[in-house]
Amino acid sequence: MRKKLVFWLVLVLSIATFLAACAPSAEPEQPTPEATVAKEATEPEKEATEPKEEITLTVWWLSSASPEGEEKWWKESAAKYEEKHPQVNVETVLKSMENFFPAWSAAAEAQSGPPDIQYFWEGVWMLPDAWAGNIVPISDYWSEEEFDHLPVDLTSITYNDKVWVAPLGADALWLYYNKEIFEEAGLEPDRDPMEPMSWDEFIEACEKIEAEGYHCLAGGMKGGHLGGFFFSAFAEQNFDHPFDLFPVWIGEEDITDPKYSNWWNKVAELRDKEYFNDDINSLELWESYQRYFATGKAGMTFGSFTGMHPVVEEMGDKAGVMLQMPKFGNGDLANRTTFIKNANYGISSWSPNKEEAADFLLFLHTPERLNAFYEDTGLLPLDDRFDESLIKEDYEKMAWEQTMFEGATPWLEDWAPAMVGSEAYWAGGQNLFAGSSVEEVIQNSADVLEKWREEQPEQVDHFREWMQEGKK
Amino acid sequence: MRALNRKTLSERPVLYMAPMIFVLVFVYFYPMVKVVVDSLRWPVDGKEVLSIKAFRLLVKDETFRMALMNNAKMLLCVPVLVILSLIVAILLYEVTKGSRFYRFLIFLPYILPIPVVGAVFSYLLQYNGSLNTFLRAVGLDMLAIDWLGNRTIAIFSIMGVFMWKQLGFGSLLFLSRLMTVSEELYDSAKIDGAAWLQRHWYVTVPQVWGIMEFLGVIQAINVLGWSFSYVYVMTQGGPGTSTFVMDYYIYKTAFEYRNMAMASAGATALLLITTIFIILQRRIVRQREIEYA
Repeated sequence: MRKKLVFWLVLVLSIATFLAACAPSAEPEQPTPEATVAKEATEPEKEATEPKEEITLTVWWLSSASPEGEEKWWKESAAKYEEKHPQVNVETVLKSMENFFPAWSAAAEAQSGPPDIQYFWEGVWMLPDAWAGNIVPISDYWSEEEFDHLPVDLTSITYNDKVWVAPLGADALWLYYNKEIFEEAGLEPDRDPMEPMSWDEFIEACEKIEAEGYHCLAGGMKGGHLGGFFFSAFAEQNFDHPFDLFPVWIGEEDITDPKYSNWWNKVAELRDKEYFNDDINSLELWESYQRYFATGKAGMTFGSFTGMHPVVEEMGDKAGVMLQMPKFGNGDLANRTTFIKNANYGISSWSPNKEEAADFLLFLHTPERLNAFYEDTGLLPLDDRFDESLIKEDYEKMAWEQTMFEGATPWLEDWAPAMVGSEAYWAGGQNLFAGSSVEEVIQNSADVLEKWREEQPEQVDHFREWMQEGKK
Repeated sequence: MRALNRKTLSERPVLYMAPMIFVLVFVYFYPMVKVVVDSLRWPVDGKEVLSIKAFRLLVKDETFRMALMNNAKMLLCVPVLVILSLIVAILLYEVTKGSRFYRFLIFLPYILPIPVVGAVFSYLLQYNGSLNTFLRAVGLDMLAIDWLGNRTIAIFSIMGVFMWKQLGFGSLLFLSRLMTVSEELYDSAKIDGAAWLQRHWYVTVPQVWGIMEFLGVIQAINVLGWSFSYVYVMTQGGPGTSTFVMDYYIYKTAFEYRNMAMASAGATALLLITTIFIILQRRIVRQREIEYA
C-alpha cells in the first residue's frame, strides 16, 4: 500500500513537472509607449507622478572601478530620492561578476521579481535583451530634451530608433606610459595626450625602452581581455564606423580580406619582438598592471580607464596617457580617442514600476548627483549637466569633451557578437601568444564566425537590421 | 476518530515525506526535465519549434568537442587518484608516530573551498610563480614550463590541482576500511613470507576493492560536476579554448552567448553521461549490500 501511495505521488508530481517544463517560457511584455515624463531642459527636478502605494525599486549594479565610492554614491542617491519620494523605497544591490550574468538571465527567464533597474555595458551586452523584450526603451519614458544632454553618438545603445538604456559612466581604452622610463629612454615624457604615435614611432619607442632594460609593454592574456583590447585598438583602424565590420560577421565579406585581418600582424609583431613580459599567458591583465607597470618594470601598457584608475592613482605624476592608439590605419576610427558608455542602466520589461524607475534614473542625472558620481568614484559621468570644471586631469577633460560633443571611437568589442568576441578575438590573442601563427588565428576567426551564423541565425538577422538602421 | 491500524500507520511516513518529495522533485527533477525540453526547441522566425538541431550543431561544435575531450582527459585522474589514495591510506595506516597530524594534513586540502585552491594554484603555477622559481633555483629549468599558459599542458595542470584536492577524501575512505581489516590476515601473510608489497597486493587490495569501485565512480562524478570551478578560477577556458570543460561550455553558451538551446543541449549531454556513472555507482553499492547481507 505504501509503495502504491509513493508511486502515485511521484507519478502525479512527475507529470505536473513535465507539463510545467514543456510550457512555453514566460513571454516578455511588449514595451508600450508610456506617457513621457515632461522635464525642464536643464533641470530635470520635476515632480514625478507619485505612486499611490508604497513601492520598492530594486537596482542591480556592477562596480566599474571603485566599489567603495560607488557603493557610497548609490546609497546616497537612494536616500536622497526616498526623501523626495516617500512612497518609494530604493534598494541598491551590488552584483559580483560571477553571478551577474546568471542572475539577470534567471530573472529574464522568470519575467518576474527584481530587478527593476539593471546595469548593462553597451552594444552586444545589452541589445540581446532589447531583442528578446527583456528591457523597455528608456526613450519611451524620457523626453527628447533629456537626450540632448547625453553624448552626441548613442548608436551603441540605439536599436529600432529607440534608445534602450540610460548611460551613466564612461570607460576608455588608452595607452598608458611611465614618464620616468620614457625620459630615461630619451622619449618625451610629457606628451600631448591627444597626439598619437604612428606605428613606426611606437616600435621605435619600444626598442629604446627595451634597450634600457625594461619591458616595453606589460600584458596579461589570462581571461582574454588583452586579446579583446588588441581587437578594439587595432581592428577598427581601417574603418570609419563599427558597422563597417558587420559585413564580415554576417557573412557578406570574407575575414581573410586584409582590411579585416591585417591588424593581427601588428599584434604578432609585438609578440615576435618580445616586447611583452615573458609570463604574459599566465597572468591576468590587472596582475600585469600591478606587477610590471605600477612597479616601473614596463614602459607602457594597454589599459581601460576604469581598470587603470587605481594604478594611475598609485603612480601619481609618473603615469602618462595617450588617448589614441599607435596609428597604422587610415579609417576615421583611427583618429579619435576611445571613450565609451560603460555603465548603462535599463528598465526590466516586467517591472511593475517602470515610470518610477525611469524617474529614478533621471534623478541620477541631476547636476548634484552627476558631480557626486565623479567626486565619489573618480569616474566620468556622461551628461553635460556634469560640472566639467571638477575634472582633475586635462586628458580626462579632453576625452570627455570629445565624447560628449564630437563623438569618440567606439569600443569595438562591444559591437562584435559575444561568441565571436570570446572565441575569435579573445582566444585569438591567447593563441597567438601561445604560439599560433597569424594565419591560424585568422582561420580560427573564420571558423568561429561560421559557427556563430549557424548556431545563432536570429542574432545574425538582428545584427543585419542593426547595421542597416545604423547606416541610414 | 479513525482507528489506528497497521495500514494507517504504514501510510503516515509517506505522507510526512510528501512535502520533501515535492521540493526535491521541483528543485532537482523540474530543472532536469526543463533542460531536456529546452534542448529540443529551436528558434525559427521568432517562434520555438521542436527540433534536434541543437544536438546536430553540438556534435559539430569544435569548442564542445574540445570540452568533451577535456572531460575525458580529466577522467584519467580517476584511476590515478584511486591508486594514490590507497597508497597514502596504507602509509597512514602503518605510521605510528604523528598519524593524526598526517591525517589532518592529507585531509586539509579537501575541506578548502575550490575557488581558494584555484586562486592559490593560479599564483603558484604562473610562469614566474613560486613553483618555477623553485625549479629554476635547483637547476631544473627545463621543468619550469608555463603550467597554465601552455595550451597542451594547462588541462593537465588543472588535473593535478584536482587530484591534490581530492586525495584526502579517498585516503580517508580507504583508511577507514583498512582499520576494519583483521590483523590476522597480515600476520598470516608475514608468516608465509610475503613482502610488504605482496601483503598489500594479496591482502589489502581485495579487502578494499569495493571502496575502490565506489571511489572511482564518485570521483568520476566529481570530475564531471566540479571541474567548472577549477577552470573558471584558474584559466577561464584558456589559453584559447584549450581548457574548456562541458559545464564551462554550458555556462559560456547560456550566459555570455545567450544561446539557451545550445546550452541546454550541452547540459543534456552532460546529464546523460553523469547518469551513466550514477547508475554504475548505484549498482556497485547494491552489489556490496547483497554481499554483506
